[in-house]
Amino acid sequence: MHTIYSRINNTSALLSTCLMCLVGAIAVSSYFMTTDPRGTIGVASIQVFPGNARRYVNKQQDFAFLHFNVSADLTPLFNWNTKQLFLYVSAEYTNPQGIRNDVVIWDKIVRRKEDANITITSRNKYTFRELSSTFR
Amino acid sequence: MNEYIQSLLEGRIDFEGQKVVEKLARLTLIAVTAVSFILGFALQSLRVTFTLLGASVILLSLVVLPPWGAYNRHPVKWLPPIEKKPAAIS
Repeated sequence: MHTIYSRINNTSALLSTCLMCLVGAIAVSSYFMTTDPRGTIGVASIQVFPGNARRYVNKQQDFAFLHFNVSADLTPLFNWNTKQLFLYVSAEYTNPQGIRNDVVIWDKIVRRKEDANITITSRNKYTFRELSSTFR
Repeated sequence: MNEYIQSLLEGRIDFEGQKVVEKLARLTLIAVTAVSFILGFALQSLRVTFTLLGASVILLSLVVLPPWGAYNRHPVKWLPPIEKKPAAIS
């Protein structure tokens, strides 16, 4: 601590230790703020059309168009350590071969607390196709 | 002139000053970390936490880093030189 350089050295070392402890405490604190918001989701309509797979023009695939409604109040999820919320809707079904599929058909990123009350009426954002030719 | 520039760049302080500076720096940094965490947690805002921390660090460096005169009030008292007789080589 006798020269300026050694004072800068010592204080910056202590400062970085304090910063690490602070950041660790912030991370731990977000585990104590658990909330359980609930909402509703309902399917409005489903339409299934046969078509061709995009890559192999002779392979038949079924395409599904799904309309759904989602409404939820997600404001409790925004604590001080939250940067954004990633929401997604996934469809789960079992195809006739007995294989269980879980497909994400819609997602949304919510960045602010004010936008967190969501009431959405929407259709699937991503192509919903059954890879083994048919849903039936 | 050379020594003046050198002493300006080094910014020496005496031992009592070093003690004060060390205690002050350690105390303020730990206290400010705790206070800014608690305040930010209460207000649920990370911005509050980090602006408080940054402002306090800048203030602390203004107080601690330059060699203020208050840190040089107890200069080391060197003993007067002793006249040595040359030792006999055996």
